[in-house]
Amino acid sequence: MDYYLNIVLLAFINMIAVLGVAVFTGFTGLFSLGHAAFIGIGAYTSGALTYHWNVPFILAILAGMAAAGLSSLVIGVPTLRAKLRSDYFAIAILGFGEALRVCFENLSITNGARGLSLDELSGPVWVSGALVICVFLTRNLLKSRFGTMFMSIREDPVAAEMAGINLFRTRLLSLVVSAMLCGVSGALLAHRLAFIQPVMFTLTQSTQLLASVIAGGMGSVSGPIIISFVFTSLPEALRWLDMWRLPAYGLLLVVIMIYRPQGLMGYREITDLFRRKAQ
Amino acid sequence: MSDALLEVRDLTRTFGGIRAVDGLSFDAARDGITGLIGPNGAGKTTVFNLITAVYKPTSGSIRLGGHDLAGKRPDEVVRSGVSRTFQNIRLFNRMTCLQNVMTPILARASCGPVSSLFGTPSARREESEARERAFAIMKNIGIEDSAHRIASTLPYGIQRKLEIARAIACSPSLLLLDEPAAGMNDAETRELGETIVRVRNDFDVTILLIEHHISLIMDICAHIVVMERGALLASGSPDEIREDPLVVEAYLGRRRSGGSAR
Repeated sequence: MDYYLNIVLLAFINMIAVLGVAVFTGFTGLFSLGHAAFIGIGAYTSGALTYHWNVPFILAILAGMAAAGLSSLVIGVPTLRAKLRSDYFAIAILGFGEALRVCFENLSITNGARGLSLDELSGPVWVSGALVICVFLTRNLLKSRFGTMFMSIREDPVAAEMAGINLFRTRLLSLVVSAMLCGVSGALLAHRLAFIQPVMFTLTQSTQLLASVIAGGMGSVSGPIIISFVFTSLPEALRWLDMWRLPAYGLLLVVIMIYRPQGLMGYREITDLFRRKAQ
Repeated sequence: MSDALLEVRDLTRTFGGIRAVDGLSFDAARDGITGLIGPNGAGKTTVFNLITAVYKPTSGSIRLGGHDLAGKRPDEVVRSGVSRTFQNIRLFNRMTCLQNVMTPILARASCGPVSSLFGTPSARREESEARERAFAIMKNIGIEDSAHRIASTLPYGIQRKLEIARAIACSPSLLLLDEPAAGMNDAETRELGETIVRVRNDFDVTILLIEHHISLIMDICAHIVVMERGALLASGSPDEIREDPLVVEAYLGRRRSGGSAR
């Protein structure tokens, strides 16, 4: 039972990060290969606070969220101001993520490559509570005028600017929100696994987040969340395949992209399906 | 001209060695429809891009209602009262018609991110006001039946009108239309002309219109500016332009003189 609970909680934690990437990539149309760095910042900020100073868990989570949001300004202000096209931005943030990982490996506060052993504070209540709050707030934001502005930039940045939208500020807002969600996810992850080390926050993880959003459907919240659950639990469900697990994972991704190039939910939400049936 | 809303003076823009716009000066009279015509490559769309700050002028000035637009970002130019449509339609393709028209209205709304996160009453009120205004604009343009359809699935003529509706939703004082009748037949072009005149009257906008359908230009424009190779060739009323020998030559070629063979 503990085994299954653990998988579900890890999936929930992953969903929060995927939600962040859905805001940035799915709704605003900017690709990122570095969001694992924001998870890392959330994990290390909160971890260092509880490890070194016994800070209450809730404050550690909020600090992790704030630190991730602030660090996104470091990469976001210079790159988004320069109106780098979205593929250039993906590369710039990739460099940022890798640089940050090297920092984690060499700082004393992070205990370097040996990693930090933490208390297992992220119980079911914390994790599911955080997920519900994050989904609720993000959904509100995406339904608001900011969601409309994000989508218009994704659809056509030139026309969006001609609709009076400040591209830099709006894209930066999207980045900060997505980084904060990843920060929360990181704080919960650190205190779920009870151990963090720099190699956990690499390009592979950034790619998995991106894959969840694309396979789940750009412009959907529920699609990426469902897919991220599948992606997190699948390696466990496929344990009997032994070394063929990873090819199976890749195969699933290829099959989705061939048969549903718009992703699982496309640009819709799962609630839209029920609404249609009710009519 | 003191009643000019838009004053373009000595406007020049070079790309490498090419003078795309070359010392151009003209006015667009307040609440009028001014036509901007000229052969392909004359620099008409470049003028639009300069007015909307997509390009920075190499030299010269652009004034809107007496205020210099120099140094503004495109979105700031839009907020100071200029909006435009594009030669190749640029819609928010995977959004509905309604969302397209609501976008500029919501872009101006004042609600911050925090009240949006919590869906406060003021955020919701702004949203419903934007929706009402968008519907009013769509109704005026005659596309309200398509409100909930995805923009990319709309027929071409409706897409053109949707682009105009979205531009109107920016609450402009100056509306720039870049070949709105491109690809339309005569009947559709006439109907579009009526729409443009109605938009001018109902929304109190000054219109600057690039168009290759000369009949549309002659029908609805009070004043016409003719460009050739980036420079001003002629300007005046439709009748003056029709008779202008330079314009006739630019469009129809040199008139055969007396006895010379072809």
